[in-house]
Amino acid sequence: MNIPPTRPLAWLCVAAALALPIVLDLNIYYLHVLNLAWIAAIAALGLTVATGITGQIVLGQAALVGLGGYATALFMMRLHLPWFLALPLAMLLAVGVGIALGALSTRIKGHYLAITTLALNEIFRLVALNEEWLTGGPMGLRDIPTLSLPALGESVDRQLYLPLLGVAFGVYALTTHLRRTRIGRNMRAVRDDEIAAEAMGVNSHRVKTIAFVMCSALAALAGGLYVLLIGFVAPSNFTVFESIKMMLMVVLGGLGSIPGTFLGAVVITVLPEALRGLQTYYMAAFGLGVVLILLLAPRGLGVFGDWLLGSFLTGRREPEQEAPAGPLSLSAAAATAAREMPARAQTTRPAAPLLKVRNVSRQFGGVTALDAVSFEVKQGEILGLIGPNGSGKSTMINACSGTVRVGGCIELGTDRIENLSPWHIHARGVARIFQNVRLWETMTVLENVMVACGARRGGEAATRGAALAALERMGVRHLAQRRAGDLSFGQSRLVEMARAVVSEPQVLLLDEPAAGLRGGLILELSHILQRLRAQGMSILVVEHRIKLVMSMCDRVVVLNLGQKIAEDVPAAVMQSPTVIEAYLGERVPDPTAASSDLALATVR
Amino acid sequence: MLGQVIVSGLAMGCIYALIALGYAYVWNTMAIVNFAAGEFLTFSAFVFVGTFTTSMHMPFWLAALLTAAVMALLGAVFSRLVFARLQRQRALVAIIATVGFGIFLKEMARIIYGPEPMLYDSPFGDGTLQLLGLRLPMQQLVIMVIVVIVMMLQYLVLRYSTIGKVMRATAVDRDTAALMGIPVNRVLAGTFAFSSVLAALAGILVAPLFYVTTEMGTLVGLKGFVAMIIGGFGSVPGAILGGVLLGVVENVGAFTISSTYKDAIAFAVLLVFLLVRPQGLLPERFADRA
Repeated sequence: MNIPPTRPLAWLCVAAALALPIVLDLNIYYLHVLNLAWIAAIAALGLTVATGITGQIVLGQAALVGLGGYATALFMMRLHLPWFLALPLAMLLAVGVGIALGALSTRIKGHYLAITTLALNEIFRLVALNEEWLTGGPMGLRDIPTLSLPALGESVDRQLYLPLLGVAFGVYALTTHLRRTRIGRNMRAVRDDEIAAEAMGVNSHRVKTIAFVMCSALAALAGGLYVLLIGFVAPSNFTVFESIKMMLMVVLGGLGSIPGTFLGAVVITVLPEALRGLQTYYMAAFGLGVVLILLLAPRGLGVFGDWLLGSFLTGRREPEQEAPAGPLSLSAAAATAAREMPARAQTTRPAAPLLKVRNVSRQFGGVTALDAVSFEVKQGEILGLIGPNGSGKSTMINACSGTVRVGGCIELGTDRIENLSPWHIHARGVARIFQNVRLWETMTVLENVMVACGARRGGEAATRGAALAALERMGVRHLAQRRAGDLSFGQSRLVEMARAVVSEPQVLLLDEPAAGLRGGLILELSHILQRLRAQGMSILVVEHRIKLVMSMCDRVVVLNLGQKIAEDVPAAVMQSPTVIEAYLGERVPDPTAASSDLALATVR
Repeated sequence: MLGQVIVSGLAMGCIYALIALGYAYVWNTMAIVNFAAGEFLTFSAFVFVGTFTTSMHMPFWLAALLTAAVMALLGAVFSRLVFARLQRQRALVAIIATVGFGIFLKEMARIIYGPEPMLYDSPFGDGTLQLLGLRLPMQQLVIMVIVVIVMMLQYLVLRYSTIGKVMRATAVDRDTAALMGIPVNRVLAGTFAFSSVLAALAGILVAPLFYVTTEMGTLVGLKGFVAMIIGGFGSVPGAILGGVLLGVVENVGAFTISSTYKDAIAFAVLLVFLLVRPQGLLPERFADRA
């Protein structure tokens, strides 16, 4: 690691700039505003964890800050606790609230969560306003003992400037670290696509709870520090408007960028003070400014912040494009697979049934998508699932992966898995791909695959290694550092395949894996799947291309209008009059070999 | 007494229903929630009372018509300049941007009309009507009658013209709708103008009930949103039912439980609904969980 000489210099400049207000003996008013900015940054960073990183819209952060403030104040005034006990206790209380909010967010999502948290904020304000015996009513709590550190200066603002700055940067470091860890990746996966995240083994309930706990604990920390700085709390400090201001810091910071949020907090706190000269117009200018910024530069300060605090100061760039060690395309990967095949292939013939589907039914409104369907996927076989559009194939895949609740019974080995949470099913060794590719688009390809690795012994390095190996198997290792949203459809498909096989599942559920692949690649995909089978995976594959089905499937199940109409080896199924009728809509008048060939040609 | 509480709840519920209907229309064409709706109400009340009535001494009907026209224009311009561009953004960005515009509108009202609350006497007098042993204030009766007429008109238009289908198509896929020959921009602007007119109507009707202040619309706007959720997100009949129900429940709750927590009651109702029946009372058949 050679550190360019400019970086320590840059750090020094930043540190000096931040210490400057103290050194210059700046006016107390400016120090006060900056102190408020550091406190706002702490609360906003908490909000970034829940909203920016995990995608849960919280419009009640001010109430959580207020909770921390009131709790700290009451612990100190009523229970006569010292501040270093009162503040952690207040945070602990907020953790409890965070857990409750996490539970709420599993049932209430999107706009609903936004209005719910906003409503809770209003209820909090009303309680603080009306329960005078506890909160002091509209006048609030006064004369709360503030923190005193005489060594650092004469006024509270001067004494607390450096400590608050330190805490804010501590929180900054903590959230930055969290974002990079496995939990942070899971959070972003939940934000980008919750259904895909669950199907790939992310326990979304736990992830959301952690996010809300972080969010409310940091809010309470900010609230407690506010009380220790100001010595006063009142309901008017924690209105919905304040919550919106905090959300604005997050949005302005580019929704998910931690450095951006930090800058956003400083800008939103300092700007109104700077605009005070405009007097009556400043709030209107503020409102209009918000609209304009969001229209013209919605990534806001995030880009600048990521550059400044992300790569410029820390020198931590995204890992360089490693020279691609693996094959550069699916064809090369398939060739490798084919070379390895003879050694291992045909060692085991399909044996015991592994995935047993019995009488599975599902209705959507009045439509019966699945009507008492039963079949089995045997150990080490590729079972094709075909049928006309709307015959229930995707619903069946969704049922097996836990994405859709069904009636009936699905067994994996000896365990019943129907209606388990998708992440439990994934943990038991069932992985899938989606019909319409569902990658987490803002994350890199490597991160996408790493999420599906789950917790792995050996830590980050092992996870990373496994993810790269899975990418290599699909011939897309060279894409590892690309943003998933930038890939073409075919590339995304291969990445999704890598994401599905990285956890070495027992059963692989594939919903039209060849869709979007160019013709030549289809047979290569079939080689890959056959190698996976040779390694012991059982594969249930929905596919429309008869050529692919014929070339790789051991057996085929045919669905039509939610019912199973055939189950046999591919060649026999293709000759079945019922199947031909289902595909072509009418009985072939003369069921000779010639006409079935004709029917098949049409199907192709 | 309870009967009267219910009646005044009904009147307030009609106001919520107007706002909720505006949300539903905008949601159905643009798939965005306009969190500035409450401020549209505030602003229109100021325009109606401050400009057309107090300064220009217009008769009620003319002032109301002109206010509706001004708000329709404002809505159309806002939709064209700001709102339509938000559709491609993430939901949160759109929410915050509309909130920001709400702040701007509220502050403009304060800058133009000053910080003092305005008083506006009902043009229908303070009289009451004795009916079935209840004393019904005239203004509340007027609110209910006008809102019922508006609801019926919008129903007839939606039911017997293709406008409803055009709006849906625009919401589902704007590009495809444009390719199918739908004048998308006109539909969006028109819908938004209509929802602004609904807000203006609400503002005109509640002006005699409250002081006209910059804060008057904020909570009404939020409760209108609550009403739409209770009724079913984006569902037009649901918005009406939800609004009326919310008004009555809130008033009865304030009367029987606690008047200081009147606003909290509305939000508690919301929480109960979201946990027990998140799809709302009359859900849209394909209503998305936002």
